Amino acid sequence: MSKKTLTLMSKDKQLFNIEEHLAVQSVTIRNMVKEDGASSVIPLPRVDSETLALVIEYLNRQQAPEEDEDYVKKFVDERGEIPTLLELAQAALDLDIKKLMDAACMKVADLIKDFTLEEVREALRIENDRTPEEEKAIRDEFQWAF
Amino acid sequence: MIHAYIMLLIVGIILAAGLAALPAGSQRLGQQDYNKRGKVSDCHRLKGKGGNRLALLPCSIRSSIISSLTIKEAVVTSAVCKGWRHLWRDTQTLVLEDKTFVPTGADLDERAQKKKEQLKKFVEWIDRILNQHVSITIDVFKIKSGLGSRHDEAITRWLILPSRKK
Repeated sequence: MSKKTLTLMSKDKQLFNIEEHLAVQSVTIRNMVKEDGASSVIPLPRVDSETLALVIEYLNRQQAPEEDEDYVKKFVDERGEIPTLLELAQAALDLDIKKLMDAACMKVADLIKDFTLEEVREALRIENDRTPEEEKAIRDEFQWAF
Repeated sequence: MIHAYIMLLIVGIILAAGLAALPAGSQRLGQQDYNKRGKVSDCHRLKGKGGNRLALLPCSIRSSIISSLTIKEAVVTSAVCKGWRHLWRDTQTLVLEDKTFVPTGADLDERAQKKKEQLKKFVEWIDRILNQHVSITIDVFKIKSGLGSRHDEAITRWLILPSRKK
């Protein structure tokens, strides 16, 4: 019996093939396959092709179960850019690949942990929506943390 | 319970540094923000190059990031914008440590005095954090501190909390 292949389509309409038995590590895909056989293309409208390529690389890994923890850590370590990691975490969340999502988030946390408030905002590209007075109130309240 | 005790003791021995200033009181996190501006703006719309490339970070990703930080780092990160401000209360990981507090002072007496005050404040601080922590589940609970036997009562009080959670 030949191995069944699935086709995933990224936000920017690029197609990626992956063997079904590997793809179903994603709970989302597993459920789709169960429901309708998923013979056609599976669209992933929130995942861009760069990120999907990474996810596919991860799903295609050939790893003994006992080495898997180390592998996923190394995998995210090598993609140490925060925007990439956040995209990866988002894709892993959509596809329900828990290990990958946890590892990506943990890596982001590791990268920002010694950052100042301003640096965290910059790294996560979050807009400050507080006035200087409001910000001062927070800093005063949590003086021990800043 | 016993495990937690042993860990606490070991960590306590390793770490005997003092504490630095902790503010007492002041609760009301964020309440004033609401009153002044009436509306919470959408801080999740991410700025900078790439614009909306990341769109908004889903709650589970935010929580997951926060949960990988110590409570100090989590509090700083939670301050980035209004939408994040309560996240640290939900963290699955409570790592409370006093190593960030280092007493400064001209002479030994002054430092010793400050250290005593800071230890007292550290105890109050943990009480406050634990009171505000609302997550039902908790994965990791660590207190790293050089508290002596005078604080047995407080330590027992803190250890009750994780035993009540999952």
